[in-house]
Amino acid sequence: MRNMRKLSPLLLVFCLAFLAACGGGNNSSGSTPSTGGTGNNTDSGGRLNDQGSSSGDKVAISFWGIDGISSYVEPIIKEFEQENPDVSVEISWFSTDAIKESLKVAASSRTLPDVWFNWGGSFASFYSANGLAMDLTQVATDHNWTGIYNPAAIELAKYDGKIYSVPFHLASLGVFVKKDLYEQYGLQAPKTLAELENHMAIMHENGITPLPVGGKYGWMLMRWTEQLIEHYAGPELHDQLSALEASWTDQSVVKALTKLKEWSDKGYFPKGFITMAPEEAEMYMYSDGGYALEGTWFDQTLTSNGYDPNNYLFFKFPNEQGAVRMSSFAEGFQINAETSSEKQEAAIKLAEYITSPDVVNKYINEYGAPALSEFASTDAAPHVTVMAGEVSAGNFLITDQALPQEVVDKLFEVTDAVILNAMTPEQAAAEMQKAVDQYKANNP
Amino acid sequence: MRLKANFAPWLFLFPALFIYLMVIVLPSLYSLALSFFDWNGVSADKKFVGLGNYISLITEDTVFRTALKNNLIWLIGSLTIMIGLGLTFALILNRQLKGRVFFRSIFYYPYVLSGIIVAIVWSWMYHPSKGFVTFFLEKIGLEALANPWLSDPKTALYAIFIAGVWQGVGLPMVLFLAGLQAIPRDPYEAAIIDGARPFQTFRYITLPLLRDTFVIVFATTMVGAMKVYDIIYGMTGGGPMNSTQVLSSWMYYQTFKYNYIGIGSAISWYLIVICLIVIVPYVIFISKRSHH
Amino acid sequence: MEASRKRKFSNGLLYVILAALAVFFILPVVFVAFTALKSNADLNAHSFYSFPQELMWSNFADAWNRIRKYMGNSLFISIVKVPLGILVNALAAFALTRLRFKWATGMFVFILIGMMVPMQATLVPLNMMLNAFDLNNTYPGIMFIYLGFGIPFGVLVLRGFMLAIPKELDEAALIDGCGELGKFFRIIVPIAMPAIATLFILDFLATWNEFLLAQIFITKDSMQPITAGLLTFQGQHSTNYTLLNAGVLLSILPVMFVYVFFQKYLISGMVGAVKG
Repeated sequence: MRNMRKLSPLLLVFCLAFLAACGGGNNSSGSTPSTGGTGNNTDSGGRLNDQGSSSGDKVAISFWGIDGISSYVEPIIKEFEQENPDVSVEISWFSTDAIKESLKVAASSRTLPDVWFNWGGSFASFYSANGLAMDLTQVATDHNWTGIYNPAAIELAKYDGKIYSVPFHLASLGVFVKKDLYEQYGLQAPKTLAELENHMAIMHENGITPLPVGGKYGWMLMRWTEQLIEHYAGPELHDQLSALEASWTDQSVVKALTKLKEWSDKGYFPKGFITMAPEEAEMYMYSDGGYALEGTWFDQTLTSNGYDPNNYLFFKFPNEQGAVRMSSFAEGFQINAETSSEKQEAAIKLAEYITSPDVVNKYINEYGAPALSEFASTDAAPHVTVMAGEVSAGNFLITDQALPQEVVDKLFEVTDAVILNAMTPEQAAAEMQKAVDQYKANNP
Repeated sequence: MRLKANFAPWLFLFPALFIYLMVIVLPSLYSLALSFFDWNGVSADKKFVGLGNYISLITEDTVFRTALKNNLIWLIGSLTIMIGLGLTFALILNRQLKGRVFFRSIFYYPYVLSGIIVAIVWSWMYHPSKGFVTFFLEKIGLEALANPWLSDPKTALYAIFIAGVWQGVGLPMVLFLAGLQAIPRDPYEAAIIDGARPFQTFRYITLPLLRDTFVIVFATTMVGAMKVYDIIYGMTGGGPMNSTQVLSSWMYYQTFKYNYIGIGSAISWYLIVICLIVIVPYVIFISKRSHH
Repeated sequence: MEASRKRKFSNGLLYVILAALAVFFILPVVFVAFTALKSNADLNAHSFYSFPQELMWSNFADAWNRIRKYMGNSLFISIVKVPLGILVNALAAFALTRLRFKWATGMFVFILIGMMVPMQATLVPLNMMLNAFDLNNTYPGIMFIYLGFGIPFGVLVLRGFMLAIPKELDEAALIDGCGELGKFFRIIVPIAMPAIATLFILDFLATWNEFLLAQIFITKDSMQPITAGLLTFQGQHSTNYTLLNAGVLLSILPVMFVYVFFQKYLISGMVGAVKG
């Protein structure tokens, strides 16, 4: 009893301390009064540095990016700091999975950085829809983005008609294959699906795995699935499916899955590919041959693995539909909607600097595929300019960003099931629609 | 004098208790509170649903059921095979064998590696064309068994479990070794004089005196089995067809990919409660028996 | 004569079994070494268990250059956190075993429950807490969190060992006129050294390999530990397996060193813990 009495005040103190600290954190003093009127009383950026008073002292902003871009973005940011001595940037680098998780945790605890790297579609929309990412439509108009960035990139940076990212990369996907392999068999880039299948048969007969795909985590196989859907459904229906406006029980979905199964049954995929890691499957492509449905980053991947991009032939997946659209997505920088307008200004300036033509061209050898409408070409990445030209002709948002994440995972699940004979394509399509309905019920 | 005696335990406990409350207890309670809501973690749209999340997980979520089943399979496997092997190794390496320190190190060594690395290493062992397991099975004439185990929903979890045993058996082994060394020789000598055979001494002397060891091994193994994540996610990503999802990975998906914070928290609490129900009575029971 | 021949045979058989098992346990790591010494082209073209065509020792140098700073961070975090954790846990275990305390078992169970809490469930509230105290991206912040997660197991082990220490020693200390604190530092801690060394090994290992919390709470690149550092070999579109494997072999050296160094304590150290 006596100990109990001693315990309760102690616990009370702990709880009070914790709650007080929590409450204190949300209304932390020191946030600059807003001059822009975009409702920002939460101080989320200035953890380690001064908040920066309104008299024009140094503004400190925080930047989150992924490891893959650090080799060139870090020097770019340093140059930015030199040219803008009143801004200091605190940089954090993350691996691909880590940044998604960290952003979510930061969103829930209101500790998002001032500017962060993000993909598009359902990855970015979470921040846009919940008022965490800043609406940049006015900024885009004021700063003449249409004159700077590729219109496809600007489209992909939109959510609900408004722009929520500064476009950074415009990625598009197509088929790569070793040139000498095609020359060996006297083949030209296929224009129809049937032709592509003929080529795959030829490779298969010669002991090469035509489709060195690793199914682990689902996205690599999905690149093929979505092109088959485009082929069987056509652009309009495909877009409706992605927008959850058409039913996934449509025959086109069934046909696409059936075709995948056919390829699997013919042995076009590696044995046991369903849980094989993508990089492991690609080893077959590097050593023997086969198709890689890869994107604008592929030149750099090849180079870093010690292969010459100029040895690879590129062609768009022959879905035979209209403009023969490529799968595409944009990577961009989102700006914190809830931080002070001073920091927002600095953050926008930084993002625009990183993606500006002069800077991009200076670093073009490593930069990958910029979202600009015009940029220098480089021998180090010969396919980038080609693909940038093609993507404007027609593109659709890549499926794992177009669909809500839980629907994407369901697509992965049913695709696996069809290939493993656990479901018929019709059942798979029905399951997909069920998941879509479930999502809509949970998110009215 | 009296006052001092009553204060003292709390003073010594204070640092641990304070940190523990702040880092574990309060966040867990926060998570418990969240599990009663339908919320994405940021929007103003926060709806109280009571036990709704818990119920819908059981009634509507097929993957949750798969995950629960997988954790139970992993648990049963760990409690029998991992602990059984650990005990066996400990018994063997407790004898006066030459080189026993060397062997102990070899069997403990994989425990040092992180789950992600173990996942890569063993995915490669199982690789259908470039993996050693495939090669070995073919060499000894068992081609029929040389299937891509990881991509078959029926065998994937078990294949991963083998890797899990490789990684994890070192800990129970070391714990049991310590327990065995704490047992005095006298009961054994008396038993041998009485004419007892090895199996009898094991059953009537060794096992009872290892009771306390079993508590620690049991608790850590159970918790480990319920929380298992890295190795599975690394080897199959939860596939094929979500057949190797476990509670930890499914909780991760729900919370961080789909933004259903309430559901994710409910999954956590299912995990905690299952552990509680099993471990706490066991620990209390053993504590009462051992400390007369 | 028959009996000893029988024993020799059974011993021999045992060695064969042990040797076979040892091979099973060591083989995967041997392959890691092979991969670490291969070039990318070699890895792509051949099986995962083949001997390298050419021994690329440079992989180790390259990997080392990249992970050097991360290893330094991990070392710092572990060397500070582990002894601190042991102190905190030892004080608590002492309270639960050597002092007259009615709630000892209940408190122990309360603390033990903490082992069951999955880390993912605590990420958001912990992040908010760190932010509230301005401890984001600070070593004190992450160490505070690590300490918290280490308490259940630490108390479990140390409490167990301390229970096994005979009560007579306490009485001797009382006669000598030591206060409780004196008893703690001068009698119990020295005797508990084996358990402490054991906990050092296991806790050092756990801290070194910890990556979920580090990933979320340490975002500054200059502060990230080795677990995050190894992830830099895995890019968005490709993984550098050869360097990764080399990096892994390098990254486990400190843990191996700690294990070997404290080896002799490891077995005898757990003795008391299991009696708990």
